[in-house]
Amino acid sequence: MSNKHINRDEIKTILDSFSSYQEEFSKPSKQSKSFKFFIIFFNVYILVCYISLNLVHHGVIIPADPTVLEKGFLDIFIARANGAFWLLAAMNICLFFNIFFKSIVLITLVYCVNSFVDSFVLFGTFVDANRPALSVYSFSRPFMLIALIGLLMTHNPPKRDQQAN
Amino acid sequence: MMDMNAMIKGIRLSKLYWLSFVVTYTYCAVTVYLLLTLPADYYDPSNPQQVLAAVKLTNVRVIIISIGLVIYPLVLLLSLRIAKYVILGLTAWAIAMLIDDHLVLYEIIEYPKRASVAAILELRPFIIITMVWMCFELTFRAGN
Repeated sequence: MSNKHINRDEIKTILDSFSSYQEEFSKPSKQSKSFKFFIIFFNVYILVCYISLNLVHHGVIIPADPTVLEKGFLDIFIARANGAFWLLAAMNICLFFNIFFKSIVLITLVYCVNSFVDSFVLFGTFVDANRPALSVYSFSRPFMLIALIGLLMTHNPPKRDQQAN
Repeated sequence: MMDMNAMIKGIRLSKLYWLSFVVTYTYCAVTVYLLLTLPADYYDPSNPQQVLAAVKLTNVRVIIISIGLVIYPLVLLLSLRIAKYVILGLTAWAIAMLIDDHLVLYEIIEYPKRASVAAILELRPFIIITMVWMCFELTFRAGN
């Protein structure tokens, strides 16, 4: 009768066969300085927007520009900031594990462009001397889009993707 | 003509992909046609600001859908790798629109409450599923 249990050596062999695969996924690929600049800028930008909007929403900070609270602007900004926050989290996870990074950056870029176009069509440019907070927000958005395009252009894909291509 | 047949045969994609492609394409073409021929009396005149917002957004979206309808088949014939990124971008845009309409802009815009418009809006999740299927197929199957 054959022994159906696998022994210690066989278990070790199975585990060893996956170790190289794990290393390949957990090892970060080398990125350029410009890529690091873009990813840090994007992280800081989204986190600053997300935190400051939530602080305004909960009344911790009272905005100097009261128009932020008018016409449901704040609700729209917070909904968009939430979307961007989850995309940022997904982007950082994809970068850490070296999988689908360009795809998630492309999705984030499309999301941001859609938000930008919708806001422009519905509310105009927001640029107004009487609305300093909204003006700063409007002027900073192109930089965010540039950072996303920069991430797409400067990302150095992992070796396994280069071999596949 | 022979070259075109060879190009189409050269694209090795499943029947389910082509079914998704035809369903999505038909939906988009019908949507563009319906929105372009929508009578003015379909809109509710009691909310002029919301109607204006809906009309503005619809015009922008019709333009983008029309560009997608023209570009995507051409890109699919030229390169599967570029087609993957194009359909990924269009799917992300479709999902962003759905999320925007339901979570962000639902108080600002008001679409006409007619059967044809309601059908277009209610079918959106199913079309997004077919687009996501096309993304998966182009990412995992066409690459191999």
